[in-house]
Amino acid sequence: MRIPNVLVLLALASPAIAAEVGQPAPEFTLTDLDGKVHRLSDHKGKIVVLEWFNPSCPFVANSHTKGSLVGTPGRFEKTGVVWLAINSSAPGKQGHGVESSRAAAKRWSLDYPILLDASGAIGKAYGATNTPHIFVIGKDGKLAYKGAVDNSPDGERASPQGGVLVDYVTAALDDLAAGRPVHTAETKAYGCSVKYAH
Amino acid sequence: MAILFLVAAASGVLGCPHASGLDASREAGVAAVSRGTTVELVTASAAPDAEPAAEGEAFGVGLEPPANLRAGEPAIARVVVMARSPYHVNRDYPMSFRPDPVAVIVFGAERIALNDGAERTPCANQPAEVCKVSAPLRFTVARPGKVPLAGTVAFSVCNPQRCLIEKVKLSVMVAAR
Repeated sequence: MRIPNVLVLLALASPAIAAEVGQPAPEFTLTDLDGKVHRLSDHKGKIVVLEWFNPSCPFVANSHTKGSLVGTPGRFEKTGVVWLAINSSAPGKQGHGVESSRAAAKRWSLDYPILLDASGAIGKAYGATNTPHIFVIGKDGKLAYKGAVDNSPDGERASPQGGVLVDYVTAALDDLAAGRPVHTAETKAYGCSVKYAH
Repeated sequence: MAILFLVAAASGVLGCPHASGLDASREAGVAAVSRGTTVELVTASAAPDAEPAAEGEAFGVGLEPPANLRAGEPAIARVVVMARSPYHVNRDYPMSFRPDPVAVIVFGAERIALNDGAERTPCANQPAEVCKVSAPLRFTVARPGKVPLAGTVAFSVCNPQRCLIEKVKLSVMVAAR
């Protein structure tokens, strides 16, 4: 059956609807730096963390060298959590490409996959606005947390809002591991803007 | 010195590519040590190793001392950050000042947040963004004399392509009566 052109145009013109907490996380198929294909559905029944990533963003660098992401992925991977970084930088934009991501992974000792989303389609499907921007998916496949890594918008845990550091991602993962509802399920992400093509 | 910074900013000298702005790659060597809320005296006569103003390709930053300073009385200096087009000041970043342990100067905290009470000036060519922030820095000099008001200003500027996090060490001599 032919799809009317007008419907195609409408679909293309519609703004992406960001993933909502409590709703099923959008499925994706992306390749990592080595060309390996990763699908969200490969990890059905597991807790999955998606970390929007830009190797040239200083907030990402701070988070991985001084901030709340230091050691966090590895600590949770040992408990069965799947941690995936996603780079949505478009060609020609800051942070795009395999080599810069690979160099950052080596520099920051990241041993989890970095997936490439150069079209930005998956970033927009999730509503990723910043790097870093974290999305935690529960075992039920529903989005359980989206937002900032923590409440210190310098990325280095030095300036927590309200004076007390809150590591939102660790708290969300701890809640999920304990079978509790995530206490703080949504926060405002901070950092660089995602370098989409448009 | 404040006048120097303002004159420099107004005259465009801050855009000089040979000026002394510190970039993010140099931040690792910058550290402040303080105990409690009082910056301890290390040596009041130590010559400051930083200038009252600095600049980079994307920014100018300066430390303006108060005009009249009396020992034992609260005073307000100002930290001024200016983004250079096409950059703007990143409003989400927690601007701060970490005092150096160089003088008998009492601050309100080891790390002073600069976002509260700051005056923000929109960018001429992009009014939704901020291109200048002038933030109050409250302190008290304990005794009369000349002392360096010194510390590290942390701020962030962004353009559509990238964000920078800067940590710039500044110092200005202040004379308390």
